[in-house]
Amino acid sequence: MAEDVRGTHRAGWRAMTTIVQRREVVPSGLLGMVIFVGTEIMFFAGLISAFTISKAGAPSGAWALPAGQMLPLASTAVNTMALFLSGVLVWIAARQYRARSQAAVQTLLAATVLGALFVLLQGREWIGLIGRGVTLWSSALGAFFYVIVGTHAVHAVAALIGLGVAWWRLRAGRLSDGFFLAAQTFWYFVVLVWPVIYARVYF
Amino acid sequence: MRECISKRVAGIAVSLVAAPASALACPVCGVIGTGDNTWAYQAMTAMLTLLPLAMVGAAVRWLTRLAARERDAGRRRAVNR
Repeated sequence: MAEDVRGTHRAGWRAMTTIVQRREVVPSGLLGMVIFVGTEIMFFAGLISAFTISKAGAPSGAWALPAGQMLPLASTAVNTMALFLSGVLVWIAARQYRARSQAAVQTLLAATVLGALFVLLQGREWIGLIGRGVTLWSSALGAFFYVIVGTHAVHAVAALIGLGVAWWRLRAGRLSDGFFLAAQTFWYFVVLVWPVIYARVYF
Repeated sequence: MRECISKRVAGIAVSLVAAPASALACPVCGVIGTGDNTWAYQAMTAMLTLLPLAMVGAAVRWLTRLAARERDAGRRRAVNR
């Protein structure tokens, strides 16, 4: 963005050549990720919007899971804590990385493991719900639940892959600032969009 | 020219009269139930309208501040040289 414009004239050249030196204000990886996260925020906003309108329009008693089943509020709260803690650990790892501390490797690994734990526990909840007859086709709430929570899980897995690659590169001493910032941004998005989904869908 | 305008006005009037009494702008409003979800539709419309504007505004502000900071740092470097 900030640019240093220098004009050079060399004999034999047809015209003056202008060399524009561009200095990177934001790493390209981070800027690309910010734009991507913006589109993802709109995607989730669309899903939450459809959910909210459908729920508001449903007749009383119709917005429920089959056979009086309930969504697992308490166990999901525990999963949510694991996800939050993972986000905090990524933030701490970033500070350690900037301070050139070797502890960043362990912190980032712990954050990735906690994130993976969140996905695994969510998967276990899904298996339980499916076993009790809550499927994509069992009710409107079930359909929305699997679509919204499943979409978030797909994003969580993708972000975890990014964190895992960042951890691997950090361990090998080959991690670039841009990649780490992009991986962090994606993970913060996954962490911060979850409370909105939890509050809307589970309650 | 006047005849052309009157034809257009007549065309618009016929279209308005022939238009359905209510058009479903919301793709999920008619899917489930018949409850009153007008408030939800309006609230979500406001959210989906304002959210991208807020995000673009925040991104522009962020980039502008970073560019200004970099410009200042460049000036300081040039002065020190």
